[in-house]
Amino acid sequence: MKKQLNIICILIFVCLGLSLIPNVYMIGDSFVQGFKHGYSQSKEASLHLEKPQILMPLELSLWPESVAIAPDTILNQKSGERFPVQHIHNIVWVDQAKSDTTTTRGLLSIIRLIAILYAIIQFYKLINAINHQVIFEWVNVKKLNKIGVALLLSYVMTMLFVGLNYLFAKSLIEIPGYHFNYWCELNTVNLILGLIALLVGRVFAMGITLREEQDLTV
Amino acid sequence: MAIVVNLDVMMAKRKISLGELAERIDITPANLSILKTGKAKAIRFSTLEAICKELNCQPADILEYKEEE
Repeated sequence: MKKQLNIICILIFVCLGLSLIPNVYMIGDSFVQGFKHGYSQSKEASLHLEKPQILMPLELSLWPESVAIAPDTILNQKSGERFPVQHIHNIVWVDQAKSDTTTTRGLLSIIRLIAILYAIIQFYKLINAINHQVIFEWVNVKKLNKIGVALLLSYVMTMLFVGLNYLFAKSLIEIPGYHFNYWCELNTVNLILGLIALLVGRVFAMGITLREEQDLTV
Repeated sequence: MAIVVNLDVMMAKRKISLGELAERIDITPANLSILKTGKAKAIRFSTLEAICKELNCQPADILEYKEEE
């Protein structure tokens, strides 16, 4: 049973790692590209004694006003023909000076990342404790509660980030044939996992209470 | 707790020690101590029966209900 527990935990970590790889690559690549771009712009601007224009990526979640009509086309290089296309998720580069929420969104991202890392560490500690036969104990209930709260916090930070993104995009951009879609961006996985962790913590607490009552039955 | 255990009073009346009583009713002294000090959450009827038989008393002599203030 311990072996099965460890196999499942390894699978969880592997899936988590695999899901993070694209994000980590994207963050790393964006950082490097952004740094190069910012450096070259800054250098060029200093030659002309101008303030550099710093561009930042802005995610747009779009939905076509009519699904039946595709206002844009995309070229298929293989056949040379153009296909009608509808954009759902785009990244546009906008002048950072136009945004007054850049710092706030950055902070929200950092808090979200810290919350997720904290949840992962607590999960690892929980599995470690179970492997050492410390199962139905109050320390594990606390760990489960911490995991639940951390995941719920990461969800709230995500919601706020997406909300600020949406408001900023709406104030700056208008694309004919599309409207902005806020609801598609809300990924409830962290919310559900957080609630499940809290639920399992409650179940553990009930089990421990019953065991204590049984232990104190003469 | 609202239920008060007066086992120590009955044990003193019958002049029997904790260890001796525990041996006679076939439970561990640790468990009997839990009952005597009022930390027990529940008591089995079989245990209560054994105690009353050994101390020659009624359950009411051992267990008393006091309303919590």
